[in-house]
Amino acid sequence: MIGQEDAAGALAAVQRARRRSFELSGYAHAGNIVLAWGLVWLVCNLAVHFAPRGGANAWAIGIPLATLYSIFHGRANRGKGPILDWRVAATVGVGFVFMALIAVIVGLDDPRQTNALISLFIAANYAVMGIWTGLRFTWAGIAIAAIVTLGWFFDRGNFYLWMGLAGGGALIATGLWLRRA
Amino acid sequence: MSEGVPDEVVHQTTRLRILAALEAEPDAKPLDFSRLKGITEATDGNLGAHLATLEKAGYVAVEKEPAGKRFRTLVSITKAGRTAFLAHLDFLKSIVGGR
Repeated sequence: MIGQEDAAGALAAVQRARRRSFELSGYAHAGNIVLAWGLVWLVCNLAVHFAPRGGANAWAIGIPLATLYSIFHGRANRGKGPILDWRVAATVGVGFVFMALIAVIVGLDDPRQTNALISLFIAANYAVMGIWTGLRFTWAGIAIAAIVTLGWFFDRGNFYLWMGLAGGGALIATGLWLRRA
Repeated sequence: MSEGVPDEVVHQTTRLRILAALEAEPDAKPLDFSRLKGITEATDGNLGAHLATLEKAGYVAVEKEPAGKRFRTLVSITKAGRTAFLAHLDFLKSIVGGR
């Protein structure tokens, strides 16, 4: 005989299992996308570090490539995790415009400041996404924020090198961690 | 399962979690063993035993797929499993609702 309390407990267990399943599917699904953005951070930051004059152009190639990959990967895995379709491009676009406006209003004259600001904005997005979908994203956000802050205060002279190796590396490691979920 | 009679195969907590996770997959796509382990928080042996019970009842299908030098165990819910799981959910809801 199953009582009301047992039945309510069983229904709660079902809800928990569904939520956990969605969370793990979301991780596995997002893993490749985070990995792709990690590679972009790695390559583009290193390009700016080693070629200060034209290296920044790498972002003009890397960001659209990673955005397109995120959209196509999101479509191919529709229904497995958080929705990743045209909204990825819209989110990147909103973030870019928002950051550009802040940079203009605040009057940032050092491109490293812009880089740090955008990176912190991305870290905050990961942290917020984690609050809603799964804590691994929050840990990634915290790690990226810590990396940006450490690079800014302790080795600003090699900021791009630091952001490429540590920031890109952290995203790549996060992508691999998520894929294993 | 008629209303008012619990399905003992489905009702056990770990098996209920397994079926809930499998039923949530779009198009009844299979989940691999390690994912199910993460969802149910069961040990390898425990999960294997519950999967065997569900397979024997015809509620899940278990397949082994080669992955390098090892095999990957893929589990999917069957039509009978989905029907039994949803009927059991209705049964639980009827108890909670006092019907």
